[in-house]
Amino acid sequence: MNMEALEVVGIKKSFGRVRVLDDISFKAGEGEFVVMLGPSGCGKTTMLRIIAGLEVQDEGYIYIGGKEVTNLNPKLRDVAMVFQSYALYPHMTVYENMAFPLKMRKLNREEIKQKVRQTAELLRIDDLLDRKPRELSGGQRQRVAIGRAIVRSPKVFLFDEPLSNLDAQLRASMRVELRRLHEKIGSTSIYVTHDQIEAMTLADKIILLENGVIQQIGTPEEIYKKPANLFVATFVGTPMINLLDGTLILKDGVPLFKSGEFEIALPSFKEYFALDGKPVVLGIRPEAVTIGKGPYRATVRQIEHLGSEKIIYLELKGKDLVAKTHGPAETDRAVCFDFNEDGLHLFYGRERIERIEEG
Amino acid sequence: MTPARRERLFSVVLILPAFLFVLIFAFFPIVHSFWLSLHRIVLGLPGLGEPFVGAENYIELLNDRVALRAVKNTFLFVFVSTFFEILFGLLIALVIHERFKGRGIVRASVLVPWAVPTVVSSQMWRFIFNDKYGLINFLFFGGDVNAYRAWLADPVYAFVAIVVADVWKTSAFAALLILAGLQAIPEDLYEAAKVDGAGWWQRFFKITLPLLRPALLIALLFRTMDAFRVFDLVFVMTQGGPADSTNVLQFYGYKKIFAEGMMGYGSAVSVLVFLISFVVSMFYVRMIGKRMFR
Repeated sequence: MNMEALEVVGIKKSFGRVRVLDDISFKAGEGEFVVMLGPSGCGKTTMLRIIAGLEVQDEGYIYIGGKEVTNLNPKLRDVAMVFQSYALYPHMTVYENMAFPLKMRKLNREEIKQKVRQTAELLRIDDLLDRKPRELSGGQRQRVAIGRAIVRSPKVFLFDEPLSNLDAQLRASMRVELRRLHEKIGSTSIYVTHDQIEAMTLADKIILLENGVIQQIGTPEEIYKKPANLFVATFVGTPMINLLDGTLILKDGVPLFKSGEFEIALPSFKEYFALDGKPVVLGIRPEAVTIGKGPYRATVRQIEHLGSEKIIYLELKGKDLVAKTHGPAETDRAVCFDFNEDGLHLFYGRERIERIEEG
Repeated sequence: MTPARRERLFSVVLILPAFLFVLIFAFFPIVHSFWLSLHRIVLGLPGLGEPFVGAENYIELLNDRVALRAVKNTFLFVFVSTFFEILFGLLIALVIHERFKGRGIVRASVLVPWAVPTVVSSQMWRFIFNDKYGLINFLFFGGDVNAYRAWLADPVYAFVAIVVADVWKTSAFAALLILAGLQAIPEDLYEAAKVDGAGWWQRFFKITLPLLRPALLIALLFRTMDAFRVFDLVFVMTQGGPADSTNVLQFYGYKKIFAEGMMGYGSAVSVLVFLISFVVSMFYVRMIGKRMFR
């Protein structure tokens, strides 16, 4: 018997000859906010629809609240879903939209009334209850869609890119609101998005998918600080991580990364001695490039001002390097800089080599 | 010429063909029919002239028992046939909306009855209801020729027969309009309803039907107006008989004008058909306008 709020075991799914999900397994604990993150076409929405029961998997099992629901229809799974398009019933008022799932579960009138009111107040849409969806703004529709999901307190909430139809400002405020709601209600949520900022800010746990395969499962911090492979490292973080192709060389027992004329001594990576002379990739987070002083010199090619910070495009011995910094810089001038070791990641093949002190 | 004037001129030019079409083929005949209906005109007796008689034809119409019977028949025909056409149209639309193997072929074949000219399909149904070699008789009585019935000679069955023929032919048209309505309902509404716990019937009554209302109303409008103007079916199958049991207004007007030569009186019948369809269509248009565009 398994008492996780949601457990997905070995889900496989193909559309025709295209494999969209390949052996997906993960768990979501009670009250956990899990974000499935990945580029479009990675299978995250399909996975969500399989959990909802709107799509049938080829193989694998789904458990919700310890009960197997693999072959149950959506109605019997006790999940609620917020759709990307909101999918509000256009002919019903906001009240009727929110009351619909309760009516389908045959609650009595008074109970429905009370629950809808309560939820509407929570979402601050209680003054919109008599309106029809077409009379609402995008943000208001979004709230109603969330309200319709919350109102019946399901075991698991499913969100399918719920913020992607909103403008940037509204998206940011809804993000905060969603987090606030989650902390208040505390129910298990599975949230699908391609937006790494949403994932980083909302998630307790991120599942990163690419081509139907899980690349990494971890907290936002783990995903960012210990990316499992090149895909994870490049997908998360803006600007994108710098990648330098080069070779690992041992010099007096110290690992050295060499790329053309550029050389840098590396911190101790696990089993680095086995990589001696091997082709590796060095990932450098833009914020790990500290401009001002240091042993390295490069030429500033371009500067983008982001207000509090700047993005600096450097040319380092014929290679491009992007830095995110507060430090001083001027276009076409040489600058000194150094690297913050925490932002250096070594990859061999596709996988990341862990650092020794990470344990 | 200023750009604004040029634009206005251009729009007038664009509207003109449609405007002329309506003027010549709709407005003029209606007005002319009305003018004719105020005169006593007998075809074949030009010597009588065409005296203006005012409302005489209309007063006569109100006292014409055959005409009143035709009004009753017409309404009954409209009501019954439209009801079944919308019902079957909805069923057909629901079926061909589903995804299944060979849907394309089914969709195309559903439309065949509608594509057949009414005169041809009416003739076909006349054969089917024939008293000696009709398919209906064969289905009911097999080889027992003595039991065969003359369906079209029976007032009730003859009426049923024209309704059946009309429903067979035009349900597909209703289905087409309703299918368009079905396709306009976003799929994710059904998915949301599924997750919300609605079963098939609940989805049908809470989502499909309410959202299909505009399409149903339009189908209803088209079918009602068409049924009011039924003529060819009656002309081919029953000639209004037996004993005027299938005599409908349009056919009666035709008979008056072309069989009896009563041009003025027949025109009065036509004007009556026009007035009824006008009132009914106004009613529908207002209803559709209210429901659809609010």
